[in-house]
Amino acid sequence: MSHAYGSDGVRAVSRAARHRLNVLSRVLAAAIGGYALAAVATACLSVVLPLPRADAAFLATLLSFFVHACVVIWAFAVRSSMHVWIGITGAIAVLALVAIVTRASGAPA
Amino acid sequence: MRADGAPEGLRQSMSWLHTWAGLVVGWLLYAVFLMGTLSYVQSEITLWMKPELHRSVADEGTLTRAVRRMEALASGARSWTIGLPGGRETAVRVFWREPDTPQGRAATQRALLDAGTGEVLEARETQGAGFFYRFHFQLYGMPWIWGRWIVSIATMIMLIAIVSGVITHKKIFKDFFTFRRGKGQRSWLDAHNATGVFALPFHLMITYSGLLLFMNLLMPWGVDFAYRGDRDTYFAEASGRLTSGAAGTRQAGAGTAARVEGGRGGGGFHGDRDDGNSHVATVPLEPLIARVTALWKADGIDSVSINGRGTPEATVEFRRRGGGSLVDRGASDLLIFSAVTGELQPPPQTPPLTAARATYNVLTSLHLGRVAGPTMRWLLFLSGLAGTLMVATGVVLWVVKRAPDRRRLGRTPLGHRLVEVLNVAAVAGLPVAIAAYFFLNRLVPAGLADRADWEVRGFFIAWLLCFIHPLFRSYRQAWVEQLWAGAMLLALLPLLNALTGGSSLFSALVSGPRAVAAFDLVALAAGALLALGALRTSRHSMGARKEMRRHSVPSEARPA
Amino acid sequence: MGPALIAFALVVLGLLAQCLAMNRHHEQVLGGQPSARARWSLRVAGWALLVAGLAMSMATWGTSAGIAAWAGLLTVAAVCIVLALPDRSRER
Repeated sequence: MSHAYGSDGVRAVSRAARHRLNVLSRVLAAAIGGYALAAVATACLSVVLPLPRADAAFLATLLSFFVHACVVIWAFAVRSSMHVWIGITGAIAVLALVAIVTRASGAPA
Repeated sequence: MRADGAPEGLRQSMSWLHTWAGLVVGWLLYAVFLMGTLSYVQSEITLWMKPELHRSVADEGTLTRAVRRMEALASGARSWTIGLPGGRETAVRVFWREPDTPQGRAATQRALLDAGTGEVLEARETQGAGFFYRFHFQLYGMPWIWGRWIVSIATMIMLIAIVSGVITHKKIFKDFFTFRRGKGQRSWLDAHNATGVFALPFHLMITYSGLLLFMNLLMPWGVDFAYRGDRDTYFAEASGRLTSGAAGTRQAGAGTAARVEGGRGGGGFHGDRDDGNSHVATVPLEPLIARVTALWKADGIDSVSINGRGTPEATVEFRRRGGGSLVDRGASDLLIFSAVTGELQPPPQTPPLTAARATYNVLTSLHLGRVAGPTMRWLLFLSGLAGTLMVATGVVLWVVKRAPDRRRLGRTPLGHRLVEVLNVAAVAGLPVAIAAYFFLNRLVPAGLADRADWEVRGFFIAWLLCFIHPLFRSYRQAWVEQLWAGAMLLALLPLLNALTGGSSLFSALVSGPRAVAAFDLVALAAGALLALGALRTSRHSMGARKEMRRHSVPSEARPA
Repeated sequence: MGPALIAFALVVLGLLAQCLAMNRHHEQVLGGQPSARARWSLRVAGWALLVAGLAMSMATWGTSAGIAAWAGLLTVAAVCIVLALPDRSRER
């Protein structure tokens, strides 16, 4: 999106737009992506933790807000907002897989 | 998050995050914090708002008098509860349910008794401080679930603001005791840092525990996934009613009291098992009362309940006052006797406490103020005030810090103006609205129907005026005027109290109620604090002085 | 009330010692920079007093509430100390 020619004004506008996009991207990643990641992590921990089911679910939920907070901090600390999205979606995919496999292979409810 | 997209360090990115997270939810969080802080003393505030109860004084005969009153009031009832006044209330709270009525709050009858005479007291209808309490976690005027989600999102953002604030605070230990006065932006920053850092454990606790208290609403996915949607089974297993795997039950020896999770007010009131048929006689309660009173001499009895009266399974439950451990949510000892034979029953079994549950209990007990004794409550109240001031200094700092930008522009941009108006309306306006609520509590006639609604309406009308007023005044004028308004209203509360039927400050200091004296004193102190703020602000240069001089006065004419 | 006040006093003194162990505040209150030995002694004394305050607090209110109360007492103590420190910014 950068212009090698043209007035400073045009470059300034595209820089401002890029900045806003960057901020919006990270806010969405942190808020929605982060919540989704925390939710999937909670579901995963609830079946993975070697505890009675109720205790595992309780502990996992207890930790969920910490997970979400960490993701938010990370989303704004990382250099590239693209990395943020890749990281979050990747983690969601892995955790979801582990959760589904663990639940399927465990004792039936 | 630099506008030019250049790379920056962790401290810089966290500083950006802290500023914007704090600003976006700052005004809402200030209200939540202030209302929450007041909720720590909601019993005391509500007592002040019911002057009809100020002259109830407890003595050794209070319980027996109340029991006799219950025999008249609730003669046919299967179950009733008597809640005795501690340091935070003056009257006896009684609940009962008539036979053949459904379970639940709607069918529960309640009354207040004078602790000294046993007579039924009629207090004015008011939401009391319950209005503040409910506002702080579910707001008002919207479906409760929206309110809870909004507050919860703001709470998560607050958590982010705290963490990013700590990361960005470079010399957190070196600057621990630093408070530079009269230095404009730096003074505000020092105040913001101090109120943040000094009560940092509290702020982390209050924020995280706030989320925990709504955990089933906000994050049900773990339970839903592990139980395939069967939440009822989860709750049954979690509370120990069903055992799942390794969880066992704990036997308590006969004669030892069980610790049962603390309830609010009438904890032992079960109000069930109501078939209306059997009529088995009940033992006289006076000997049991005397026995338990002697056993719990230091702490005293908090409440007495009778359940299933007239049936062979009828029980009398005594709950002890106190219960200071946070690990079991301030639970206190419980003694259960058969109402037919007078024999001590084995206590109910409680499931063993996991580390996770204990952690949850400690954090939520602190949040809910399930603590014993006035000192702990005062510490929580003061910490809450620190948090309120932390948020307030933060939003004020935002404006102060950008004064050079405004000077360079030569005007106040619309965004800054919005922040200015909201700052005054939130920070100075809320105390005005709260004071108005208290004024209406005493000025609206006690017998008027809907008077509780009028109190709440008055609160919102006052607050709305505080949002409109700054639109027509300069930033400094708006601050000074609203701070003075708040100061005067609050400082007049003790006078209002004495003139409208409450226990005056002097009489309350001498013979109680202690809570009413404390309210009046805190109101005076708050008024003084706001007045101090108003005075300081009216003299404040608002960041204009030094820089203006450099631009407007030629350098030769400037004093050395 | 008594034990609570003792716990508070211990905490105030402990924080005060920590405060004076810092160059900046030592100069502010006592004038002159502290020697390395003074700094070490003040820090050790400060920690000892704070721990004593914690112990007192736990003895008064129980384990869990005692730790929470100690944190609260630290808050109040810190505010008191900061407000009591002489204002060095005006001297500049």
